[in-house]
Amino acid sequence: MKTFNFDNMVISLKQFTKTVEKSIPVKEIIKQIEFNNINKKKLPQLKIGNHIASLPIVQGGMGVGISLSSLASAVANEGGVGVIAANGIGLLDNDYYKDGDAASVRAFRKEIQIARKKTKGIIGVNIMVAIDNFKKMLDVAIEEAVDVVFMGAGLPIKNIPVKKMREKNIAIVPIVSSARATNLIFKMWSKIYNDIPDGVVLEGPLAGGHLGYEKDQLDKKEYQLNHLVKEIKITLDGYKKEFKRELALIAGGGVYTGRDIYETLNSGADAVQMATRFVATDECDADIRFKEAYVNCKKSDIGLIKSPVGMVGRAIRNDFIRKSEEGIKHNFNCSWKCLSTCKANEANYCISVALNNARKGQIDKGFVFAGSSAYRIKEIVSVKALVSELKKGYLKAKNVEVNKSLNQLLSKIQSLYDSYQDRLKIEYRCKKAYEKALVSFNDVAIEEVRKQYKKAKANVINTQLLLEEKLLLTWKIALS
Amino acid sequence: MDNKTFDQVKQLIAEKMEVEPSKVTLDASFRKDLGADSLDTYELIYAIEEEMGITIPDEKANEFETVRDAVEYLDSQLD
Repeated sequence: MKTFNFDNMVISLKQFTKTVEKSIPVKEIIKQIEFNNINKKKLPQLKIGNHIASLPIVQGGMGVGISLSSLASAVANEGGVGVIAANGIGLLDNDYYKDGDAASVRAFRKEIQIARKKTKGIIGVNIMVAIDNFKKMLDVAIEEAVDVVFMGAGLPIKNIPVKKMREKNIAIVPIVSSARATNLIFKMWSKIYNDIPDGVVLEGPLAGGHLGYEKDQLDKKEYQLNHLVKEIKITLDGYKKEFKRELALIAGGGVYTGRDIYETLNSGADAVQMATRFVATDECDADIRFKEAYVNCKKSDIGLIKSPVGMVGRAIRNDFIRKSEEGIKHNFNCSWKCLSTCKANEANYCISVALNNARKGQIDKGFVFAGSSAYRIKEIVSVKALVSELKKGYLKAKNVEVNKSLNQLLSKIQSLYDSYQDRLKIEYRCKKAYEKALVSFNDVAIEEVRKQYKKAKANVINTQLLLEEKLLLTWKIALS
Repeated sequence: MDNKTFDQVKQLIAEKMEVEPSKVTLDASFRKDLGADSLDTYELIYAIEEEMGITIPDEKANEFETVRDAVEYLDSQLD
């Protein structure tokens, strides 16, 4: 492929300035391209409620102690949205088996406070709607005035203290798996609260952990991320208009490289959610053996499980999972029913205990949730290094795309310009012929030449209009 | 069991879920027989709440397997 040459483009554009400048802002186009050339090292911002993240990346909340203050603050320090996961956080507290509820509240508050001390960036929390102390955990998030509350695993519709959250400037973002769920949440919110959430996180079928899809839906075309992004964008656009507000569409599940981010944003998302990649970082809160499980796993190790909570989940399958499926019971002590609909006895294990063991590095006494691309991870790096790699990949993908479009446009503009010059010459000849005919006093000849002159003039104008159109398009792409 | 409650619920289910009223029996399972997914159930519960002027906590609603479960709960609340 011919690579785009910025200088050539500006020279080509400057050629046109003399002839078409009056009607086309060629000079402005050039200025904009020059400006973009300087600023092309930037990624788009993410506006989420009243907060602005300089990096369009939300670190996905990973429960039972995987994303806590350390990871969340590191991501926030790089300009993204760092997220502390509330569920299972009580297991970090020594008194969990005495009073799970109080332990959860205590540990959650502590992690938010530590994260705040480590960063001035955007800190969010992820609270599962289905969990039995949802309300209490939400109150902690409000008291600690986090920046964003993400709510998934159920529909965050009823009993949300929206007004209180607005007073504390907290952005509210449900996690969804379809346009239908998005519409239901927004419709009900507008009825109940006369307000709407600040956007959604769409978790697609390639994500890790619990999934919002049935097993047979996962491979279907209509459930793939890009398809769902387009559908949800349409839903959100309707509410944007109605409420005259900006809404963030954050899409995740299988987003691995900077190029993936570029493509997801290109398909209509405002930002991506990424979790799997952040596990293999120095700052991730899990034990080193948990992270090594990601580095060491093969593609064939990543598969689905039927979770005790009744949902499909994606994990690195190991002997613990296989034995449970064969009917071997793993002992556990259900200290408090953290989820009323949990079927731990049927599944032969408690998922909180299994995941907590894995968090502590005892992988064989539990298992590791992971996204579909976890096998591509080859090393553990710092969050800074990861973000820098993602940025580079994004900008490279973007430049290739933009240059491709600009090159195509430039060659079109060039050929249009050539034909414009030809037509100008024809017009000039016709004009001369017409002037000559005028003195001949032959009405028929005058009429004939006049028609030709008129046609030549129209041709010049048409070509000029086409040129204008292409130049404006060039401008738009240069602006992107 | 109050027949009036059942009739009301039956009508709402038939309407919201677009199923034949004859299919809505007391023993019909929301998921298996009426083809409801979690979002359908949510919309249905909300419709029942509006119609009957009561609130059904989410955790209670999650436990409804059959139409009978819902009707029995509603009866206990309406007494």
